[in-house]
Amino acid sequence: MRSIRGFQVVIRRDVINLVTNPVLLMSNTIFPLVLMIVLGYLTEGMYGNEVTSYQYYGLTMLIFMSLNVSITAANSFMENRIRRSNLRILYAPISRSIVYLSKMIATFIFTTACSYLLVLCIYLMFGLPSKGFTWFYFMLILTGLNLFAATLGVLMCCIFKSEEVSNQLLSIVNYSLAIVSGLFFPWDGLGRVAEWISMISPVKWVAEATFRVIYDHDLAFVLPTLGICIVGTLLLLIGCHRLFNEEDYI
Amino acid sequence: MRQFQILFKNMMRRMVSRKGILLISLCIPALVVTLVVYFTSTFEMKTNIAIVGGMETLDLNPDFFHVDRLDEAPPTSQLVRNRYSAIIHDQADGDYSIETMKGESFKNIVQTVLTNPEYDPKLHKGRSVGITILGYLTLFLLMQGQFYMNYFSEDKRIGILQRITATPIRIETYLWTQICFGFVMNYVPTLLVLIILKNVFQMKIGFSLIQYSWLLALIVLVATTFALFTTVSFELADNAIIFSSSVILITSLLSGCLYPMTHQDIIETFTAIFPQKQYLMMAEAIEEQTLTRTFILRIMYIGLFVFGLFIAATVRCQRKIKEG
Repeated sequence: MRSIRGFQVVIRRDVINLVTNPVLLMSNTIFPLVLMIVLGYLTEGMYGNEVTSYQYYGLTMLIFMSLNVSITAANSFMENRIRRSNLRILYAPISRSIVYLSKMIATFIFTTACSYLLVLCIYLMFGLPSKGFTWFYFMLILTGLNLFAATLGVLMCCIFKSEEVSNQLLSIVNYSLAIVSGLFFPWDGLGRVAEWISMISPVKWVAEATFRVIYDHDLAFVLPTLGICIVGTLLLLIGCHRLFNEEDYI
Repeated sequence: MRQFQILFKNMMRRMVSRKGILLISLCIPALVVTLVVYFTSTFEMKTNIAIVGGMETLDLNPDFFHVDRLDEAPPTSQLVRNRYSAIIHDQADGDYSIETMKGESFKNIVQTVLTNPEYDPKLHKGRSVGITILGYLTLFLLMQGQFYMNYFSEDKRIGILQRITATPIRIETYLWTQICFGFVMNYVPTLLVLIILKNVFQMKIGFSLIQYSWLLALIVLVATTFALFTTVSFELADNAIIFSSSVILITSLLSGCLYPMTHQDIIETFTAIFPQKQYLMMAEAIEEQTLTRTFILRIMYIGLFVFGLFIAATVRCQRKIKEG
């Protein structure tokens, strides 16, 4: 019982830390919105009226934002401010895994709330086809991706023991995957070579699932995507458990 | 000068001592530049059309169009994702319907091409190789500039900066050394890779190497001074990186790094204050070989921007040191 209460306290504190960090807050709410508007504006001429460029980038930038949750997670491990509180948590009579579990859960809660808010925004601003439960499945996909990305960010920190390195690596990986999966521009129409390359990127399959759900009302991809996200999260958590050493925090 | 040498040598030694990070810092530009150049030259700019059910007599010009003949219509999501720009359904008796997400004008273009196979819709004319590569490189170099300011933020954190202020080394020298270090780390690998790609692999890179040498130098200067300014301003390095990445991405997109700006309105005039925009317009002028007065003005603007950022960073740094 004491353990669960301790858990709650730490998670609450971590969520508050995230919300009161203006840069992280901005990069999870305003920044994706601005990106959508800018990209939609730039490519207005390439789309018609049924599917506007704003709709396209509304969806793709939400997926991109879910990818960047890993960077938010890595940043919630901030060294100077959190280091001493991490130490206190390690000394406290609760499980030592709480240090990284709480960061992951706090990031997940925070970013999923932001995601849902943004979904509401794009629905109101850009208007997407809404039939039945397609929105529900889309938000489900985003939630799964958020979970996976949060765990990935925490794992990167455990491996590299430095936020800057994790940041740099995750940035590069996220941007590369986003470009190859057609989140920034329609990669799919660039020829056979491009198509083969994009098959490697898991983000492409997430984007494929999203577009099929929203435009074709085809739910075939949703369950596999969610399944892989959850299984991936569990595997990453096992990795965290193995790799996390208290000694690195002293 | 002596102080500069001491500081610079110190930074170089620190960099060499962290071999892992050094390796990553060198591999990433190499990889990215190679991919950018490779993709710009290999990617087809053809329009993808899907034809469903027949129309064997239809022959679209293979230079402009890539045609897939399918038995079943592909799902709508593939149209949205631009896997196919248009789907043509054959409805027998020479009748057909065109389905596309790209708007009425595109539909009309396809219609015209179907009725008149000789018509060149000029859909495949994109930007030139040089400008495309330069656009991507601008974005990449601006982002990379942030990461080479690592040592500065580390100094701030560990307290080395405080110790340096107690020495006779002037803060301007220190900041200037940071800029030189960031410049060298950002510029040299990128230029080297371009040289190798052009001479060893014979890839097309658009501009000549001499042109690239000073074009890249200019944008790396902007990248480094901007990175310095944000690193001085933010207490936490991570926040600086996230903030500046966002700003860089949005301003670069608006300046036309990835997509050419097709709108001629107030936003376009607003984006003229971004150095990336001036930079790309300068590069276009070089390509078209029109060297006018505005060209010189653009270079001066970028130079002023760099200078202004450096002064701002120095002033802020001094103020922060005074406050402790």
